Amino acid sequence: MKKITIIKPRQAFSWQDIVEIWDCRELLYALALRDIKVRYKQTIVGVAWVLFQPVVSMVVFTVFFGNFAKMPTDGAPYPIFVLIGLIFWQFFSSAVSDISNCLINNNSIISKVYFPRVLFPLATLLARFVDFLVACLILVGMMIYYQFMPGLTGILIFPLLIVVTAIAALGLGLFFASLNVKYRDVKFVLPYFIQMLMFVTPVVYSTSILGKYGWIMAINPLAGVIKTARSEFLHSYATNWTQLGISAIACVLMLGVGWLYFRAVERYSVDTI
Amino acid sequence: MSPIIEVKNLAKRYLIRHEHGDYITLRDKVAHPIKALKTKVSKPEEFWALNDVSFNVEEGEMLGIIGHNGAGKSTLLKILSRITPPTKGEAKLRGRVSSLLEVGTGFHPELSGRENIFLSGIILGMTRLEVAKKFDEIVEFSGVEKFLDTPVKYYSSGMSVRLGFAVAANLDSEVLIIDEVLAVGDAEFQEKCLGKMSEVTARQGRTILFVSHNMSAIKSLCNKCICLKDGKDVFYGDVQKVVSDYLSMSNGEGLVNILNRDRGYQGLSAQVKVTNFEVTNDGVTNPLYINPLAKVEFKVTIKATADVDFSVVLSIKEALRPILYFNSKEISKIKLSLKKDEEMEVSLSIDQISLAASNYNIDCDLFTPGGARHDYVANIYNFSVVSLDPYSSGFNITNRCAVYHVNHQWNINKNNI
Repeated sequence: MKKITIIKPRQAFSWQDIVEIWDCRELLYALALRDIKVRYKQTIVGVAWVLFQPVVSMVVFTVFFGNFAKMPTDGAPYPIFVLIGLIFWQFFSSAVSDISNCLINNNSIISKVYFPRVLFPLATLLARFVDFLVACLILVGMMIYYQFMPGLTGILIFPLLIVVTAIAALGLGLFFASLNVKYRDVKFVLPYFIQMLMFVTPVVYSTSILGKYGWIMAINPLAGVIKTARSEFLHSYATNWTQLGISAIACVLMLGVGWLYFRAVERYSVDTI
Repeated sequence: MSPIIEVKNLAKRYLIRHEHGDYITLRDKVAHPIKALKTKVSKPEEFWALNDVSFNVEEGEMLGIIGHNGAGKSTLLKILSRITPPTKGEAKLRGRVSSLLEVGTGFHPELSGRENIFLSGIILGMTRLEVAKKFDEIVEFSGVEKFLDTPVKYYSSGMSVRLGFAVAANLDSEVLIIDEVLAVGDAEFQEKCLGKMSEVTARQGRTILFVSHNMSAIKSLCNKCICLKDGKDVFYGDVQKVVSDYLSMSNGEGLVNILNRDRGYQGLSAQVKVTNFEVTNDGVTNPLYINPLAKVEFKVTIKATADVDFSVVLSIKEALRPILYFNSKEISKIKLSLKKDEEMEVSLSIDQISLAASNYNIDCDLFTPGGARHDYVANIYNFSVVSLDPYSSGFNITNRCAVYHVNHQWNINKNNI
């Protein structure tokens, strides 16, 4: 049975798209692999950068926020407290910024051959996810050193936290990637935006300093994720399931908006880039 | 059986904005919301790159697509390879489609040859397993065995082109869409690619769409042909017929009119200037395609701004290689002189120029032997020769085997021992 392709003026969403992405999964891996291989070429320490980034940030934050500023951590040692925030944050922020630029950076392929454009963001996400897994090794080491043992719910909920982070990053990334095709300002604004976002995310501090307004922060999916991870791994307070629920809904909404906008832009992106 | 490609009333519109030469920035919209609205009101100009094109391609057919630059060939290929959506119309493709719009699609300079073979192959639509199966064949064709584990950025451009083509040539899809990728590489490699292409198509009965400006390649590879003009399909059918219709349509458009531009006369005395250049061949003025077996006349109009003796030089080049050289005074001993404000026409006529099929350009030079150079116009005229077949045998003498033809006889003596 031969595959029949019908080319028509732009279509709305169809299940065919999902099937198409599944058909291209080998390409997805190939692109992700390319991303991973190329990223650390021509660097002296190579892949070790994946470990360096969280470790160096952890040390710096521990010295300044932990020792000097004495940030409250709800009883946990500051290094492990901030590391949990950092690995999720770095997964999220690097995925958002790389996805935002992926359409423009792959323009030479986009203008010469067709496959679902969404493979680029997905491949980028996958590559950053591999970085995240490597960074998790540090977390495991630190957990052993400080003798924290996550409970069963903690282990079960960890994949869910990753999914929420990934969906949020993909949603925001897709939105910016589409915007970037049309307005090149995005490339310059994005680093500042991500930096701002870090301040409204409890990476270096605890949401408990916000007191009763803490729930507002849950709209930021990363806040819910980091908070839940800390409560489950460090047992400093009980998990707030409502807040995690709000975060989960927020990330799905982000993905919805990002995906729709991306769909609208991808069809004519070749004519614009 | 239904055709493998059905194209129905396909059209593509581009909107050309005149207000913004460059990218629209977010700032423009935020800082000047009113201006941004106004800009929207002034309608962008419509441009139909492709307008109501329909055709069918049967399985195993090789369809050539020809036309001038900007006729819509590339747009058609881009729509059929789904890179850009059509504005109207529909195309139905039965089977797996691969598009080869460039050699080495998806190559990453930092990755090794081996890694790039897999990456490019998968991007072009093969599975990892298929690439692995064809791997040896690809490596052999490209001839880069020794450098398989070297990053592609250290390859010479010839090597990466060869590797790119080798990957592409081993694609297994039912429909292959090719855009002049053969225009790269040296003549020898181009020939190897053409050979490989006709071999691949003959063996596997694939369907190929092939865009090219190279009429002899189109003629030798394709059996059907479509000719586009201003986004419309003007001729369709048997390749020989369409190509000859296209050539006759194109005549009269060959002049590269650089004489009207402000030329600056840098390093030139400008005492005599070339003011017009005209070519006549086979009853056509300024043809784009010259019949090499009919009489050709090159006419130069010269105007003087001072009293001067001079020589006219015309040189015909293929790419940068000089092929023919004509010098009125030093070779032909013709004295030319003009008084101030006088004008003259000098013609050079050649009964049979007999150039091989290729693209040529003419440089024109006015100078006083042993003295000043007065005017020099590079590429004053461009033309092509599509076929050179002096004895009507069906064999086309192209630039791959010769530069030009001289009339000759064969004498055969059979010795009975």
